[in-house]
Parts: sequence; structure tokens; C-alpha cells
Amino acid sequence: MRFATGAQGTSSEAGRHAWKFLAPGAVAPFAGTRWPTPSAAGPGAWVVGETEDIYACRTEDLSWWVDCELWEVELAGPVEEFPTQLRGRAGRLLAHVAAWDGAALYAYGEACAWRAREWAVEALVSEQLGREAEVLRQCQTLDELTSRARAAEGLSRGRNLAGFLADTAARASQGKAALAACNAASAAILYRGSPEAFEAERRWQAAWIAKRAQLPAPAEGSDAAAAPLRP
Amino acid sequence: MSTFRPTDLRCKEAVEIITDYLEGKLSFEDRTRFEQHLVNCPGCVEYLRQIRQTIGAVGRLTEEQIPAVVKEELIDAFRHWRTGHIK
Repeated sequence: MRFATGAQGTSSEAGRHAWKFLAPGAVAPFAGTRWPTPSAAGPGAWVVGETEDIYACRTEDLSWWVDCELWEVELAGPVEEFPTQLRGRAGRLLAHVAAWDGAALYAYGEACAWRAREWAVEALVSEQLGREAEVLRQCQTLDELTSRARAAEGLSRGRNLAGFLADTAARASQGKAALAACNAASAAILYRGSPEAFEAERRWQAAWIAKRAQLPAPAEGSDAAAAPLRP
Repeated sequence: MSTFRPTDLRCKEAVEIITDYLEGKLSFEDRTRFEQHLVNCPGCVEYLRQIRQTIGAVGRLTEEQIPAVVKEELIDAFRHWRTGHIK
């Protein structure tokens, strides 16, 4: 990456606002480079990729790229839309989203685990496995959820969902929120019986992130606000 | 174009395409698959960081800076690697 000052491509007014997850310290998680941060004088300097363009998220893309820091960014140049991201020729940081931090990231993983718990409980009940379902329903911590879901794991749909739940809760407990969310999205396929459920769950997750980060809600409808987030 | 799932790419495959990723040779789809894998795989992120560091260090090393003994060992290792007899 290289940094440039002044206007880049299109004017500021014409730039596209989006979101970008970064590792702590405004570091690009894969490139390892530090983005210039905004100051009292204005936005951070423009960043121009040397071999790659600059990528950022719409609100509905957030769940695909989650990390510890969230920034409002401006993309410049022709901005292209892809299924999980936007691509521009240059970008700059406009503002740090203070409501999103390490604690929020951890809570996101937790929320995914509690949601997966609801699916496992429902499926176990439908298989006349009420006792196993009740054990999961009574869990209050992620570690409890991990061990009890693991004990309930097996070959039926409900028991398979318990296995997904154990994986999700374990990852969430370890602070691996991105992986927990991915596990939960995979569980959604089994729960809903449709491959499209993966993307639908990603949208729910994006809406959860947006709500927690106090961003405008995603363009597409979501039931994030209504879903259980805690036991 | 559809979205990608981390299970679409396993660590073994990710490691094989790291060089192309660093050189910007991957297609947009493959790059996205690779980075989706990274989001969910701290181990591969760490490996990528190590490869970058190695490239950064080796890229600054001139032939004259390599001690003669080390140079001999390297040449010897490559010779055996080419003939399939690794010491």
C-alpha cells in the first residue's frame, strides 16, 4: 500500500462511504500495514493499493470480514459491488466506530452460540429428546454449553445440530468470533434444510453487528433485533 | 457470482496459493476465497505474516552478505534436493 495526500480520483463528495474491519491499531489484517487514522484536521490519508485495490463492506457484508476494529471509510475511483464486499481504487479512514471493540467482537461470537442453541433445542424436542434439549436450555455459560452440547452430539438432525452448537460455543468461548459465526451459519443450513440458509444467517449476523456497532440497519430486512442473544 | 464459505478452501490449499496471493496473481474470486479462509483461520494468517517477513528479510539479502559456509550449505542442500537425496 502507499499513502497519498489530497484528493484521490473523485472528490470527497462523490466517494462511497462504507465500513472496514481492521485489526487493533488500524492494521490491515492480511496485509499487516497500518492505515493512516483520522485526526482533528480531517480524515486519514488516502491509501492506494500497489498490487491490489481497496476493499470495504456495505452494512450487509459486515459478517464476512469481522475483526476487532471497525472504521467508516470512503472509497474513491470507480467503486464496484460484489456479493460480500465493495472494491475501489483508493480508500481512507473517516471515523472509528467506537461502539465496536474487542468486547463487542466476543459478544458477537456469544450471540451466534446462543442462537445455535435455540436451533439445537428445537430440533431435539422435535425428535422426542426433551431431556437433552432441557439440559442445553439450562446452560448459562459458553463452557457449559460446549460440554453439554458435545455430550448430546450424535447422528440425528437434532444431535448433529448439538455438535454444531458445541463447535460454535467452543469457538465463541475461545474468542474466535469469526469462526463461531461461520459454524453457526453452517448449522443454519442443517436447521433450515436449505443451502441458502448460510447466506441468510450471514445477513442476520451482519444485522447483529450493525445494531451492536450502532450503525444504520442493513438494506435488506433482518430479524436480528427479535432473536435471542442471551440465555 | 455466489458468496464463499471458509470450507471451500482448506489450509493445505491456502498455503499453496500464498505466493500467488502476495504477488497479486490470484483472480478476484480466488483472492476472496483465500481471504475468507484467513478471516476464519488465525493459523494461516500467522503463516502469511511469517512468509511476508521471510520475503522482507531475504529480499534485502545480497549474495555477498551470505557467509561462505552458509552459502556452501545452501548449495549442498539444493544439490541434494534436486537429486532427491535430502540429507
